[in-house]
Amino acid sequence: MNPSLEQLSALEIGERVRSGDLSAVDVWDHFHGRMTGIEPKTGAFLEIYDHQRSRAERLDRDVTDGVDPGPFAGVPVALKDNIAFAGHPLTCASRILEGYVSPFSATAVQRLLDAGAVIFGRTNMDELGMGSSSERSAFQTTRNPWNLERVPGGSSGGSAAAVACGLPLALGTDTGGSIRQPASFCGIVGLKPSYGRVSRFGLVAFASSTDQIGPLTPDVPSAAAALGTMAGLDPRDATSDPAEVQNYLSAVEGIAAEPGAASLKGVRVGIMDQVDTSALTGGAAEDWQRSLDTLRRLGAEIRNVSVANLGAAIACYYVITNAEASANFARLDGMRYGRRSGDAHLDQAYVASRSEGLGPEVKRRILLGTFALSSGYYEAYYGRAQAVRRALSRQFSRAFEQVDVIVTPTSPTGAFALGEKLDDPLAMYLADVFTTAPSLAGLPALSVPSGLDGDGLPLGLQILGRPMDESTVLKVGHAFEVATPLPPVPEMDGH
Amino acid sequence: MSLDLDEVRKISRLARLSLGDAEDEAAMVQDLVAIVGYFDQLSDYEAEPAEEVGTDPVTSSREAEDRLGKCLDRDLFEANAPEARDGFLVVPRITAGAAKS
Repeated sequence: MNPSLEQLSALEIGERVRSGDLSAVDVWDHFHGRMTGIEPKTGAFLEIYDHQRSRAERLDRDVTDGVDPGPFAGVPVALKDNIAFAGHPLTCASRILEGYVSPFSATAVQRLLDAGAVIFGRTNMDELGMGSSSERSAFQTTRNPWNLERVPGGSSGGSAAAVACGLPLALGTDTGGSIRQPASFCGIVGLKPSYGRVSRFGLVAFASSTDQIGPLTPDVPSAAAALGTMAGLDPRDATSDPAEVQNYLSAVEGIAAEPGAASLKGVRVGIMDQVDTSALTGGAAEDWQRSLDTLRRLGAEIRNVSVANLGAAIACYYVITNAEASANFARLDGMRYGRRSGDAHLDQAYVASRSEGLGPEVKRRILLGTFALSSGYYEAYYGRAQAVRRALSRQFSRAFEQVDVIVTPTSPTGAFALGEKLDDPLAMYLADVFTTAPSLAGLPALSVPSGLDGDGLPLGLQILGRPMDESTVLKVGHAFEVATPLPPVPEMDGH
Repeated sequence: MSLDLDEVRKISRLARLSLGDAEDEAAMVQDLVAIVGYFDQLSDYEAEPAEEVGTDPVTSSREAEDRLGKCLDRDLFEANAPEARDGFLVVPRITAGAAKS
């Protein structure tokens, strides 16, 4: 056991392993011991891949033989259970995909493997990505490491909990906040890249016009490093963007050396007139004001901007993404893969397979999406939502003519209690008030820990940027995190 | 907007989903009415008409090159199928006469 390993960033671990100072097997054994010890309390993982220790052994042999495994050499990486890893189960925490084994790896995963990473396991999530608490998993409940009676957020709640417990890197996916909100609830960093920045090949599609894979990490430079490895054009995803990949690490370099007054001098930070601060409760309003004070102290110029359709984002998001989900998940019918129920007749088997294999929230959203696309309602709901979305994107573009980034709280509250919102789906949706708008506009969005709420649970600051300008977002995020240290996660018994 | 039990049953048939017993149906209708009622606020906000297809930076995409490539290995595909035989996927009967209620 090496007790100092949690203090090392992913890149520091990789650097030590590739130079031979640290054994990949020792890294594996340390994190395997720690995470399996904590797992009964948090329920972050659907599966920890014990057999991947052999990959760590191979990486050590490579180093001995003079082969450079890459910058993520020996770094254990957890994958949300909707990101493909060849030869391993991929269920999206849904009964309907129980037993499915992915024949290929996601491009993002392959690029991390090519950089020396070791896939640690697959993490729990809300079924098919539909939820904000990870309680909608068909298999288990994940608990927040800061308080085991609270949710970790969702839908990437397992990945967020794993990183809060010390893992240096996990991948999540974000359709309307599913990386950022759990990152906020668990006191870590979560980055949703610009739409098209990271290939969606190998990500089980939920809403194809907003889905993105992104990193969850203990700190911003680790997120920058992971993004730099995963980002870029992929011929297997027609929506991946050909824009040149920025040097994200150079954007954050130098910030740590100067945590004092002027690291954001000259940066224009926007706050939207439409943000309703009365919705911030439990200490979140005070934290928001403190965050703005911190940005001012760092030299940033705070400016007001207007995004008039911000208040429409949740309605717009749930119409469009549910419509896309109803189309994408039509393929979950028990014929080519996954669970099949009933065999008397094809039509009966479709209904039985889907009705028995899908959970209540997924059914609710598929019905909403089918409704929004159905004859007589299409123009009033789907057509209208797309038109409102276009206006929203235009409003963001105008706002970014005046500022370099826009900030909001990530979520209006800290982590809520397990079960608190399960019976009220609309209340669960309304908690996505700040995260859905940037998803609709395809903007990069980062959540960075900003402080603690009245119950001592983490809160987050969300930083939005222009499309494909992750560098500025990461720079502001890193300056903010250096100036806003969070206390460590309370230790759980024995760990 | 006229979302009621009959309409929800029609939508569930389109979505190939069964809503369960009467109590489950009623709860689902109640949820959907509340959520769709929330959606109705969309008419209060600025809307921008659709541009020419392919010009929206968020939803436009490139076309793939039109050439043959390697397909997924048949054995791997079959391994995930609920039932496969002689290189084909086996599915339930599709002729109408065999339908059971």
